[in-house]
Amino acid sequence: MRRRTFIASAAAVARALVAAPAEARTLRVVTSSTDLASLAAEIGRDRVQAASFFRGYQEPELWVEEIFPSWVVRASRADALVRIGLSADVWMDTVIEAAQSRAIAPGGPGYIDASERIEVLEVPVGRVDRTLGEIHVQGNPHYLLDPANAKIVADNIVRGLTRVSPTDGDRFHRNAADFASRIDAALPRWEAAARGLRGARIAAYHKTWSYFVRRFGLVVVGYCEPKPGIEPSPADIQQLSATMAREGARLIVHEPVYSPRIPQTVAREVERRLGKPVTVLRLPAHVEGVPEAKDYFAFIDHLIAKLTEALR
Amino acid sequence: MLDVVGQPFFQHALVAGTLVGLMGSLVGVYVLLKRMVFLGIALAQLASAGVGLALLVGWPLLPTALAASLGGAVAFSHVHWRRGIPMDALVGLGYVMAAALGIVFVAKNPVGEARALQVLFGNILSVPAGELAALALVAAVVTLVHIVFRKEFVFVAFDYETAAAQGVRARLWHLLLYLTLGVAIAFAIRSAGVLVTFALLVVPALAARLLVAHLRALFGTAIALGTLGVPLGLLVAFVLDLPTGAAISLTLVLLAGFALAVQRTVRLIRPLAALSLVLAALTSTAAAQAPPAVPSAPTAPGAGRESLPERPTPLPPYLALLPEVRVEGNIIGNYTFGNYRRLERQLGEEQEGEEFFVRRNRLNVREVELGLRSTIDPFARFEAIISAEQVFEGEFEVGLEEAILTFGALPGRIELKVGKFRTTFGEFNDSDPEEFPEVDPPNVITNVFGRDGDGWIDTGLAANRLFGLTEQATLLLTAGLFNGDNETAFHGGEAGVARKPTWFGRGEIFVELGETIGLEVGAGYASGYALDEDDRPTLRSRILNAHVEVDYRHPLLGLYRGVNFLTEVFHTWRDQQDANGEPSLLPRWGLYALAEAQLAREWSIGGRFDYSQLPTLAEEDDAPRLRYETAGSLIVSYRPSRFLTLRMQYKHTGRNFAPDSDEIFLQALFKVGYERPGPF
Repeated sequence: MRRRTFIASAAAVARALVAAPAEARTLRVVTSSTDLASLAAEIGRDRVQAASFFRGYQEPELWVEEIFPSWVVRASRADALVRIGLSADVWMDTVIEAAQSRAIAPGGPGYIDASERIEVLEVPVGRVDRTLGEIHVQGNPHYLLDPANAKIVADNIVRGLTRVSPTDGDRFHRNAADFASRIDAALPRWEAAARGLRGARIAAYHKTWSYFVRRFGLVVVGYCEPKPGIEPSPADIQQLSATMAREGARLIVHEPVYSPRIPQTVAREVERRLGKPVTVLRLPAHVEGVPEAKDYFAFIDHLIAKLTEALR
Repeated sequence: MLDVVGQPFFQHALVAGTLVGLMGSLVGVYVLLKRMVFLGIALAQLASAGVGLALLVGWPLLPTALAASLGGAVAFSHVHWRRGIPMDALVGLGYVMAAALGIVFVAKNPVGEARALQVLFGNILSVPAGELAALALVAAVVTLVHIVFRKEFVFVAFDYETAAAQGVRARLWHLLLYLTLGVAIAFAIRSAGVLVTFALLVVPALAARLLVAHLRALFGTAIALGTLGVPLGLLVAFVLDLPTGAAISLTLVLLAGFALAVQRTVRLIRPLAALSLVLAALTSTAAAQAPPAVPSAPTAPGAGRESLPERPTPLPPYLALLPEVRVEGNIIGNYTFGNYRRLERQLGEEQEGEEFFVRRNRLNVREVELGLRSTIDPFARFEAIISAEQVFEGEFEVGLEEAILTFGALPGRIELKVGKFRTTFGEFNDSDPEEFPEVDPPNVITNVFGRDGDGWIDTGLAANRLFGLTEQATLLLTAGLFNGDNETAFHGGEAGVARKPTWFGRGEIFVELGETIGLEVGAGYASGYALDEDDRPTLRSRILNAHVEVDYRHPLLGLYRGVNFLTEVFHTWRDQQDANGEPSLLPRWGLYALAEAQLAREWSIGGRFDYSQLPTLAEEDDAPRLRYETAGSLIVSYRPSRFLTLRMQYKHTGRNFAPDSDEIFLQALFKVGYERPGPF
């Protein structure tokens, strides 16, 4: 046993020592979310192997009690790291510290904060404290739900990857331009498809959709969890039901990580008040949240299709 | 509503209530001192059985109740000096008999049922003038007897055996004490009912015990609470239109709780004031220097863009570079039932001079921590934890709990820590104990690493390196050199790090099975020396540690569902010198097994099993050579938010060298400020 452990660790040490220079091989990129991995793959194509620590149906902004050791190992071997930023993925700081790699530490070439230059929504102003619940002190981190922001994120990733592998810079820039033009082409298509959603009143579990609804013109009348991170009280449920009934909202969307129990309770209450059926819709919040949403484009397609279907 | 106060029946009730409150709370102090709360309720039950009997056969109520209660008092005071008969069992027998007889008497007498109920559940509102006079007389006599014989009563109540041994006429005083108890209880039940009587026997004395330390103050406070509580409860019953007995009892409890809360708040202020001053100074400078907040234009949801600060003013360097700050608090209440004084006497000798994890039967601000962390430069970072820790009743010690300089950019990805920190020797020592789903630390931790329950915190250096074995499996190797400052494990590091360092080595393997199950297996070995009589470091202390942890989290609904199982074993070998200076080796071991299941987003339930041999030799000759403890715990945690945890633990501990104990712990844990997830 001892001998095998020794061989395994010796092999690991050897691997670390003989790692080839970045230019000669595929770049390893680790990301907080599947969205960022998908974008990194768009820009790196065959030069990049991008993988997210979280799965698409999970939520990297939720609090992580303990990081997995395998994340640290993967981060320590990575050439670049892309994070959500805005204090949404604080756990990444622990990963970076433990990985002890200058390449991906803040200030290193491979450290990429995807939120740079994003126009952030819902930055709290005035007094900020925890009576508001587990709010995002630096603003809403779900900026990738607006396709226009995907171009900015892509640009951040291009800069980072070019720092890591300058010889690939031209290739990355070409790929990013191609990605941007595909977004530009898709935007009118998405907006046309989402025309039916404009002005639609919905309720949501968490403030995930702010960027999405701003882009496509839906109106969120209320949240199941008005104070993030705090389980809603009966009064919260009553209040949301009353608001939904008043506003005529008949759709509640919840992210896969939240139990449908509360949305279903609210739905029953609204149905009772309105006398009309109310739908509870589980909507993925990230790429690969459902098998169909295999890349960023398919993800946005899926959101619009599901919402349109539910609101029909 | 309040004009009822002018009515004669209510004035009667007020006077009766005050008298009953005075008498009940007075004798209640003895009930508490003698740890015979059960006796109180048994006597009360006997009195009510007497009432039942009187109603059935048509005897006068009061004398019968009195006779029953006094008979019980005499009987119980007698069994007390019969050695070998557990008092509890006989009192319990008396209680069962009285309760059963009471039911039978009442059941056999359908006409009397309503009246019996009235008597049993008390109606202080219907005390006639004649009975009031009798009550006043009895209250005066009981109080007088207690004033005259207070010294004797206290003596026999505290320590019957010593009193008897010193030639005090212990039996007589004891009997008299029990008789006053019986009389007081019988009259109190007649006037106020079983519920109020029992509440008076227990609540004021218990609250007073928690509030004050000195005996005189104890009596004063209990009597004040009881005498005020009953009339107050009557008023509450009227204003809120509640049943009087229940209202009085609840008022007593609330009054006691209020008094406690006031006292604890006042006590809290001292240590917290210092911390809050520091924080206030920090935040006020930050607020003064922060960029003015730009108010956002109110917008309809989803309708438009929210405005942002146009050009954020950068923070001045001294603020931007301030370390991150966090504050954590840990408040623990403990209630130990059973004969805890005897327990403390037996455990006390070895624990004297050591910090307690928690003081028995008290509410404690166990600890308030101020954490500061920052990077120093590209190569190193620093974290310090300053804590105010309760060491004795109401006394806090402010100290440096941890101060860690971490070099995080060494070649070969080796992480080096220097300073004072939680050694990562074993899973408990590797984690923040407050992250464990338990209130009190495992017995093996307190036995091997000290009663403070903090585990092994030491000054020295430690290095670790993480290796990826496969995609899903990793290996962490750690080695450390320390002073061996831990008093319990390494005799206080007299040998010193430079002379004979304490060291440990440890390996941990993590295997991730899919995204849902994490498996962790670790083992470590530590060794240190203490000085012998010739001041040479020859006394060796070795510890072997192993643990297994399995963690399951629902892949999707991980917020709501998870199960964790952890078991950890410590084996120690210690060189001991007996009284003649002869060395001997003492092998001892212990383990804990902890399981927790999260049932809902806010609720978790858990359990723990403890087995721990004491790694020391007993000082008394008659104690068993191999002493051990076995304990079982049930733990419920409620987390209304990520920043606040409320927890309850029930723990039963069995010992082969001291009495068993039953404990209830209540805990409130909070954290504010920066936070980082732990590295596995």
